Amino acid sequence: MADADRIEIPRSAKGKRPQYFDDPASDKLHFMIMALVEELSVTRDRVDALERVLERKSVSTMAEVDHFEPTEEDEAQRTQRRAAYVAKIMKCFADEAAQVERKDPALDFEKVVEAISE
Amino acid sequence: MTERQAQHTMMIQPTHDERARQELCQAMRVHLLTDVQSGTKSVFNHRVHPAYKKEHGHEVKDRHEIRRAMSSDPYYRVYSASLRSSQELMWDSIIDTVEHEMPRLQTEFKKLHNQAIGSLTLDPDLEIPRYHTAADIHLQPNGYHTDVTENDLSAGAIFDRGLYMYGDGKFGPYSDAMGHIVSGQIKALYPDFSPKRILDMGCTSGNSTLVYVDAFPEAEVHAVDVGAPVLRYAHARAETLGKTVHFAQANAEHTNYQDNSFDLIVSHILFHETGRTALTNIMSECHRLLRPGGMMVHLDIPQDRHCDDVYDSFLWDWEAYNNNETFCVVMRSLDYEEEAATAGFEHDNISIESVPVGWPLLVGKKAA
Repeated sequence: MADADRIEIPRSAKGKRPQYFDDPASDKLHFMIMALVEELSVTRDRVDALERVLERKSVSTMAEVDHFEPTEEDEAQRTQRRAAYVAKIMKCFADEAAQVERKDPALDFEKVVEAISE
Repeated sequence: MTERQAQHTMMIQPTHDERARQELCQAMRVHLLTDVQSGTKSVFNHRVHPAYKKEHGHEVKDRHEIRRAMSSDPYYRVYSASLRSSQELMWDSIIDTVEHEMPRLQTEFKKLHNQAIGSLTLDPDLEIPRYHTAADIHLQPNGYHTDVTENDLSAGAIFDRGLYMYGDGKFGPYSDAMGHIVSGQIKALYPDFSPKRILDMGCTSGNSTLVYVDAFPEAEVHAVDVGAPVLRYAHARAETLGKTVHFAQANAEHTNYQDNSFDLIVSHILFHETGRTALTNIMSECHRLLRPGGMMVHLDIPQDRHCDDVYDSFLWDWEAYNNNETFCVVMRSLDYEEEAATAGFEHDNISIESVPVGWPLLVGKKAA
């Protein structure tokens, strides 16, 4: 995939996020757990895919994986992937920061209804 | 097991991890909306309602009182927070794919547009209504209307994948079940009705629109939406699927089409994404656009009065308070028949039909 061609699409939906828990920190912790659940599942699917591909090709790999030595290029790619992973798990902070920067009005629900019902 | 989403040139191609992420979001939503949601009802019946009766001396009267009572319950809070987060993660997982697919989609768009059998008419000066700009509907970042780049079609690509995931494939491989439901009901109720010109209002990625091309092969099919990026995608999608549709960027409240120019006007869950005045305007616009004897047919989610159980009615409001489908809560109390009558349809020519999923279908026939 050519990164130069990649178009960045803003990720934060407009509109104030409801607060579900008494402490707003709990909302963030909860989101992070949800994102971790997602990423762990992705990892398991990936390991599953790898195992199936290797099995289909009749490659015995257990020992190779145990003694895997990443090259510099491998390492750079793995570092980049980890950084993207962390950013995704911590997305709730980026969302709040974007809302603060945009000065999204802290409209309560009734006011939004009123505003769109004029 | 539901069918996989249909593949075509304009369909985004996720990498392994992107697909795994998207499928997990779908799995989380399914679990939350079945097992966990049914648990909220137990919590209400066994914990929240008894406490409410003790405190207030009476049972809950309506969906609003249930919401207020449930909002402090820890089970319901975690349920709501989880459903909200899974919706946010769903869009994020789709955007991952759309970001790297955009150059390819834009190239395909140009090719398809240059040999189009249908058409696309955009109006860069169209004022985007407040109900789209106030908050991003169902949390889709940038809504239906924001161009994030030149000749953008990301909103359509994001929506098409999201619609399939949101419905867990139950809207069909082409996410066009609502078009089938509405056109099927029209044919069942009016077997002799043969429209020559059809308009689909609020078409987004055109999933339901395409159904009418096959359902009424004699008809010329038009579709409008306020969002340019969803229309570009809808146009290219229709072209690659070989369906002739004329897409135009317009507000369904005030289009540029001539008086008496359509035999059939349809919409599929459009109403709840508009506003109070907009709804009245849309029905008046339908009356203006319909030829005498023509029909408007609109499908939307159940009204409060259509719910046998007040708890179920409360659940329908979740999307309003948590998923930026704000107008839902007001719309679900409106009297569609009165709205249609105000717009000029005669009482005898207005009916509310029930479709197989139990949702209300508003039918208004313009006097011949």
